[in-house]
Amino acid sequence: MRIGLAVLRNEFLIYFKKWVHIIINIAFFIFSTSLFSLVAGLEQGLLAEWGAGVIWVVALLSMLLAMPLLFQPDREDGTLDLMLLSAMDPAWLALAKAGANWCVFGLPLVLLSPLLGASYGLEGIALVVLPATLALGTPALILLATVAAALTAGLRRGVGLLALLVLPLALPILLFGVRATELAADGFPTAAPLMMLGAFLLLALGLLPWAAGAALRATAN
Amino acid sequence: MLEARGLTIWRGERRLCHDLSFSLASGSLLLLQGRNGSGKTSLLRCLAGLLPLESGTVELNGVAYGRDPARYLRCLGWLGHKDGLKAELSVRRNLAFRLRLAGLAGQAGKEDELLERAGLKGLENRVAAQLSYGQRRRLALAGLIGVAPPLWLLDEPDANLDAQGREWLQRELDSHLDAGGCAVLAGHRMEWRSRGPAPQLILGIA
Amino acid sequence: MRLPNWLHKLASPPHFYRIAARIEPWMLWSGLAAIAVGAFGGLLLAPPDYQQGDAYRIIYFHVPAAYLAMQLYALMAIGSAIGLIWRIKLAYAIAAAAAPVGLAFTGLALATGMLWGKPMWGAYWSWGDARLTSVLVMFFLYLGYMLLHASLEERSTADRAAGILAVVGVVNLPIIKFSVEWWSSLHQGPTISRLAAPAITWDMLWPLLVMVAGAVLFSMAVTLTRARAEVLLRERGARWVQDAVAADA
Repeated sequence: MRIGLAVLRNEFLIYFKKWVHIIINIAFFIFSTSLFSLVAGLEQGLLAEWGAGVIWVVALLSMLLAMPLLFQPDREDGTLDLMLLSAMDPAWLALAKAGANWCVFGLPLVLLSPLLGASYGLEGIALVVLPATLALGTPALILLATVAAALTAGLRRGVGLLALLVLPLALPILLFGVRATELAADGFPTAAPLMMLGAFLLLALGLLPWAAGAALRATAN
Repeated sequence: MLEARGLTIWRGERRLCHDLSFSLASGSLLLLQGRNGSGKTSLLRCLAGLLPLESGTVELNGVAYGRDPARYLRCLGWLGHKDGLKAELSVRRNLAFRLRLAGLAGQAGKEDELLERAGLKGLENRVAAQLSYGQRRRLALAGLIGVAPPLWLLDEPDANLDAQGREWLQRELDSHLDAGGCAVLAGHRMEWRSRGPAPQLILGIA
Repeated sequence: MRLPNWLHKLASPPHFYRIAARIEPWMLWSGLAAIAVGAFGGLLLAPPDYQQGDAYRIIYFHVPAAYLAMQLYALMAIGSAIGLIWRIKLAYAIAAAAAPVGLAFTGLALATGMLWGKPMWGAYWSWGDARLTSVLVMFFLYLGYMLLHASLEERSTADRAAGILAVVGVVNLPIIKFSVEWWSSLHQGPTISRLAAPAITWDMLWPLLVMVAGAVLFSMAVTLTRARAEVLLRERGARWVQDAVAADA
């Protein structure tokens, strides 16, 4: 686990050197959500109805953009071998990787989402629930992505396959995240879907690093 | 120290070796020789547990990889084809990370000493991407030497090294073997010396 | 945990190859016969439904297809899990053999589901229907398994990697089904008039059961054929394969 923390630290150092990717990710998120609102027209009511769904889907896609960074560079420069050959359990490696990736690419989306939600005409409690769903849902999403990224890390053009593997599995997170925000916008209680998202996150934390570790070992050749 | 019995390794449709057995005592060096594609790297990866064995067992200090991976891995050090350096990070950070992976936390003095030995003094803050290929190889080797595991697995360690670099590597290899370590070295250039007799394994005949 | 001895013996490729070759024709022909009888019974003998008329008859294809889509996914996941835990290569071969068969039945279940949806819901597709949507997700999981398996060059790597995916997917499938159910239960859009499943009478039921049994037998026969081919391909260097091929030729 101590080695896992060293990996986490190293990841942050590398991601800050790759700040361009962070900016690209945020710009993609903002610009794509704006595209949807432009296409949908200027009807405020319609926009508010669609807001949660659009923001969630675009958040999913922008995170997908950064998912190849999880293991592909490490695989190419040989550091993945070194990390797998350290005495640390690969599940910790996957967890550290997921943690750093989320902080850098997931957290900004969570923080930006109220702004974008407001631009879509969401109001009041919905502007709190939307970032809350993203805060609970995106880490689980990244954990799913570590498994898929570990499975496809050795492939030269694995990005498309990575997306194909992640998206179906991410469906529950998306449904609960969007629905919770819609319920909040309509003035209904949202505790139940938020708790479900929390349960998904716990389940993902418990199982997926382990699966990702096994996947890293399986594709290490 | 290293006991391999009845190794059979397949790579896709090809069988790289069949029922291969060898053992390495403390202080000895095993050279792997063979044409390109004869399976030197695959055998090294099998010894490191990165590639599954079709059949056979490998024990390092009496521990099989499958029984206790952490203990097995603590005894071996790896220098692969790729240097395992992060192009974005400085020389010092790369070395420090390598040491941390082995559980050796921040020892600036040790890092300085290693860099000096590797002839990289003065380059501490340079980003690894700006190093020459030879310098990267030296840095990777410095990490391995710093971790100082009992068994070294080296895949063409002299790639990109100049004559001086090769001499330096030979000296480090000697002191590693003298200290009771052992090493498996794959490569084309076979002038590596060891004080004891260097057993040699030629692949590509099996 | 160790596997029982008889399973270990069965898991030896030559043994499996011989046994599978012996039971395969029986499964295939009895399966096809059952499908013929079931189709005759379902399409001609069974009475029309008092609400849906003859439209309901598509269940004689839809239900077996959907059932097999799930069963074959389970087979694929269990085979992968056995391979991952006990390193039995035959289990991987069976998982890899089951995937395309499962994908085909999943596609059939989706197609027949859409055709049935038109008279039932007035539309070919209803996103609010949990079963339809989770079968669609399952379709993509099958596809992901096969594409991942095909993309990784090294067969043993491909087996293990795709196997992990199958296992992660099987844990996820109930969650997906539950999520879509919950989602649609709260949906306030135009209400979907879904007919409550009417009590099915015996003369409607028996062809369905025969159909399901026939489809199971047929799919097992096809999976076994594919598994045998996989085994031959994977063991092509072995002596028994050359003997077996020589004997067949």
